[in-house]
Amino acid sequence: MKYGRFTLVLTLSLFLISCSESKMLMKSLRENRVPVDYLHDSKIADCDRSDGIALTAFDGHAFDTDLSVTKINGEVFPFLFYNYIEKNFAVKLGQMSLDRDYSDFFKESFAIESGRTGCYSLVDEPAENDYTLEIVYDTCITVSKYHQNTTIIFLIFTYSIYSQEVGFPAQTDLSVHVTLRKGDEIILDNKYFINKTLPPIPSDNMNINKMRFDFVSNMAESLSLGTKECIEQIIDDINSGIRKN
Amino acid sequence: MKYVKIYLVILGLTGLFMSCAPAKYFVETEDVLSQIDWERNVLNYIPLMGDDLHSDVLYATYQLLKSKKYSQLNLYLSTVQNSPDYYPAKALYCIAKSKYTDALEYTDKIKENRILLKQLLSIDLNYELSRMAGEYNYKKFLQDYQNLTDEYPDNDILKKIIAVRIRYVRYNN
Repeated sequence: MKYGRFTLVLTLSLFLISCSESKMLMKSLRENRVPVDYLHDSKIADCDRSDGIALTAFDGHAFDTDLSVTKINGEVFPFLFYNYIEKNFAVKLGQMSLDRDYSDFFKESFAIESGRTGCYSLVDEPAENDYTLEIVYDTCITVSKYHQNTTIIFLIFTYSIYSQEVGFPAQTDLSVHVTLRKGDEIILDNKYFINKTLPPIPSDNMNINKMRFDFVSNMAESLSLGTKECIEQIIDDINSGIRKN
Repeated sequence: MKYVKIYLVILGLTGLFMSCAPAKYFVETEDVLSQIDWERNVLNYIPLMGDDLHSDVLYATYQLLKSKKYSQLNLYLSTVQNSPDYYPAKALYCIAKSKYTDALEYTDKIKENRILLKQLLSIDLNYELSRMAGEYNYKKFLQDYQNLTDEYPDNDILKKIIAVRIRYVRYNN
């Protein structure tokens, strides 16, 4: 009975410590607001832009509101003079970590890219002969792994602690459903699947806050570049769809 | 007296360490830049393109920067002050020494025949100076680099260089 209580208390303590570790990391990562943007490096197309397209529906709600952290696993090697603790977390990017609304970013980037490479003009309200475009996000996820380890070495009258944190490549998964119509006729009905993995920039900076900022920035950069790829593919297909029509 | 000596030694070592700080910008030729694996590259390059390397001053500057012979380069530049390429060369020297204020002064004096170099260095240096002054503005620099990219739509190497610059600006605020 005595050991039963002890085990229960120990398990509860470990559970609470485990939860607080994730929460502490989440709180720290959530403090960062990072830019979501990219360089438009496409060549400006010289084509007929007499056709009008109105973006009548856009649903980008598949993107999470807040950044979240969940503990994947951890290892502890408690020896007499040497202790090693390792923790791995799964981190998912959310809207609150970005410096602007993701839907606004998508719409603005789509408008800029349409102005560069789209053989059409974006209009606010569709006229009779104009096309209508619907863009619906089915999936919009940016995830990464964050690793922490601590080594403690006990010497006779002293001890040494060494901690390390490492961010893994950020991976963005986008699944976007696009429908282009002219009146009732469907010109284009495609799903776009983008998978963008971006390794973090190598850094010898030992400042934990900077490292965490870079980690969140890397995730936002991966999302930006994934969105870029997606927009470029959509515009390519819209151009082909209009040309065939 | 003993402590003063120790202090001076530490100060000297710190100075030596600071002088060995890694360069942030690397001058490179078009030939070398066209062979770089841009997917993996994280270095900031300053390109010498077109007829830049036909200039004796720029070619010598490139060679001396490459071999990190900075004092020799400074000495050499003092002998070519009348050359039209003195200003870009001096700007590159100052960037290598992380003297960004001086570098911007020389960059402003670069003639129109090296306009791309002038425009690129001008954005880079304004970014470095604003960062040092704590007036970082990511959007402004992204727009400046975007404008430069659009001004040279056929220059693929420049696009790749600028893509790395944007990463650099994104992470170094």
